[in-house]
Amino acid sequence: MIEDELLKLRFKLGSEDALRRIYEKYLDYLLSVAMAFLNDAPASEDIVHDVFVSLAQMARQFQLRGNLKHYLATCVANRARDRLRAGKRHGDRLAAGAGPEPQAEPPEETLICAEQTQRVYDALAQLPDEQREVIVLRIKAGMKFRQIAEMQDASFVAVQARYRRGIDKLRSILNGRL
Amino acid sequence: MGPIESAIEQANCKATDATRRQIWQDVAGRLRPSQAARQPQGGDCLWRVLMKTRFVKPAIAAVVLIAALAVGVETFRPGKAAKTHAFSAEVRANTALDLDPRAAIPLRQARPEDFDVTWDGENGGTLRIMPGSSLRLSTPSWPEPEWDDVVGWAHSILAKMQESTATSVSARENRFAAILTSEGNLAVVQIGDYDESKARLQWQVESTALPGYGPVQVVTLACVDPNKPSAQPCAIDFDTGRTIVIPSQALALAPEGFLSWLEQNGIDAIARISDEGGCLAGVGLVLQTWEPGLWAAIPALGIRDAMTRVSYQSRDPILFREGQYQFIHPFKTREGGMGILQMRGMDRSGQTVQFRYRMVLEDAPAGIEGEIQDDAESLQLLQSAEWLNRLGRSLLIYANQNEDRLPESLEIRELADSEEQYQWMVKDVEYVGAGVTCAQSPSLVVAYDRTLLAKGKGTNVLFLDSHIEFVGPEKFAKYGLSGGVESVMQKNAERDRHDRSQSYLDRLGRSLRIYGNQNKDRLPQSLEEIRQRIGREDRYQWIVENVEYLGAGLMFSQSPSLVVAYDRTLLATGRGTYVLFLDSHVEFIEPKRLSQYDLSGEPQNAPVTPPK
Repeated sequence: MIEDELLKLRFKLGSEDALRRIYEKYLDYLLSVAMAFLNDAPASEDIVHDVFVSLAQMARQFQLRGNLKHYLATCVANRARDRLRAGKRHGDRLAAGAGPEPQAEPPEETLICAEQTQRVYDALAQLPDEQREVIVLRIKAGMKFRQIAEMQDASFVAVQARYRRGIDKLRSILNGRL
Repeated sequence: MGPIESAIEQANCKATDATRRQIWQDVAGRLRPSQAARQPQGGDCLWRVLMKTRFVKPAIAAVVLIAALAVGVETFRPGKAAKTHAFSAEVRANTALDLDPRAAIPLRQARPEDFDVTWDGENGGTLRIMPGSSLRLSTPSWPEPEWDDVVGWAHSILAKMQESTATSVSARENRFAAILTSEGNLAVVQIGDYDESKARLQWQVESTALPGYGPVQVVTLACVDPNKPSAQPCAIDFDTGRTIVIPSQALALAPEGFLSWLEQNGIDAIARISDEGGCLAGVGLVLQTWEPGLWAAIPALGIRDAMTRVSYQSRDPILFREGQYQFIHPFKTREGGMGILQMRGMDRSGQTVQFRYRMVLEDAPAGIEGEIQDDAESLQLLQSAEWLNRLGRSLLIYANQNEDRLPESLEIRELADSEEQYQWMVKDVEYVGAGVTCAQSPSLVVAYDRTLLAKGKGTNVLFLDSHIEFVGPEKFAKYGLSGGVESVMQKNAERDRHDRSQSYLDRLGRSLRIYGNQNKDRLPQSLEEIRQRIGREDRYQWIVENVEYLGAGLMFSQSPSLVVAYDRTLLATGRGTYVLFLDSHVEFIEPKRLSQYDLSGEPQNAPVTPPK
């Protein structure tokens, strides 16, 4: 906490070291959050890249009173949501196994995921977007239902219901596979 | 937490090294141009700082003299103050140059290891590091690099430079290079005009050592009194540690003359008595104010990073806050010296102030860990903040598992990470989070350190959103801290009510705006028409019960300062209320301004006139 406060302060003062430390501290975490949303390594890398680039560009104007980790996770969530919506408009699908078109050469590996982790991402990908978002923000980002409700512009009760339904569905998908 | 939740929490992936490097390259590339754009022209450049340093001028003069005598180097001069480089020289083919800098020699005569680079005509002109040496060279990879960007980049890759295998840079391909010199310094070199036989190099040399702190100095200064010159020192030059007696002739000068005298004598601060008590007044000193406990926590590197790019010279005095914890002040002198300072005391009868400071030294013998000195007060503040921080995290986890409700008391062993922390929580923490849910205002006080509070000098406070804040005595009333637990809870209730009022009126404003967009800029006749748009039913009910709506018949094209709605329940308390205006902004209107808006506590049913 204190480290994050110092990092925020130093970053605001233009310290590249501070940005570097934020980057090193949160890169893998944000990639995990993005993967939980998208289940697509290149797309996850893209949005985390964009989040850090925007952060770097706003250095001196950076104003954040709250939690740095929540802030970054929310940035990833917002971009992931935009990408999912854009994907839907273009008829893409998120579900496991519905990856990009086969290419002449396999794309370079960008992320390293354990087998069980990949199973969890595949299962999350089968949830409706809203349920997945609540679950990821709640568990991976540690956000409160109240904050998620504001983000999704839904009631507290609706968000809790989405969470419960999502967990139930995950339980049935992952039954005995963990 | 069930197995599904645990599996999700533990589902983490890791970027490959290539991805990690690739993203960082792009991110750092974006930071540097924005920093370069922010830099005032030549404002913080090293050369200007160096030239302001009294010790460096003779050294530079010596370097220029030696270099002028050297064979093969036509000119060797410090860069102009307006440029960002520290040195420049023309180097001819087969001539070696010491960047550190000391001299230049013809390559044929000797090749001592002290010399760093040479120039030859290969590929139209190539800069090489001396072969077989411990030197390292790296070049920036992005197109059209600029000086400031390259300096920042060179520092960022310092740790990796040892692995670099590059030994030369062709001027056709790249005009910049970062070089680890034979003396372990970092030189950033720019190749200027060049041909096969010679090149003009410009470079800046910086130490690669991590900075540390010098010893803590405790100083007592007499306060300046123009009518009563003191034989005691009243002023200090932080760069040298010298304390200075101000003679009566200087005190008799006009203000401009006095300031000029202080500057000419290298003085960075003087002690004086202000309306608020004893203080230090800076002379061209760049200052910041940080929380008290940080004296023991900030490494010298942190001070250097924080102060390097700050140039605003504060005119605010550094006050001794009687009976309170003293803030710490990172500072930078006119000559570029940096340090931190903290007031320690004031003797009213003797008219003196006492403070402690320590300077950041680039070549301090101790490492970062060694800098944190035993300072009981600072450590206590820091420990308290750290444990409150951990408590905040535990409360959040507890709430997650208990329908967003905080525990009734802190006597739950699982809330602490250790027995020591648990004992501290029970003994030292006042908990006011019973009955609070996470849905309430994030600025509610949840707990505070009552042991610190009892000393009356300030305390650490944990808020519902988990952030910790040091609250000084001047803010005790704001949080009700001086009146005990009931008082804090009362203030919490008020704050929650205020936040709710502001947030719901804001939401109402957005709903009205959407309604207006779809209804030719017209506002609804009643709130019932936007019931669905307001969203949650409990929010709508709250608005109906507490808000007076005045927008019926108004159009969004009318004056933006028309009142659309206000919180009538708050208004009835007589202590002001939140008001929603036609331009959708929400503002708290204090009692004395209520009459401007014709708000008197009685419900209004007609459109309200703009402010008088």
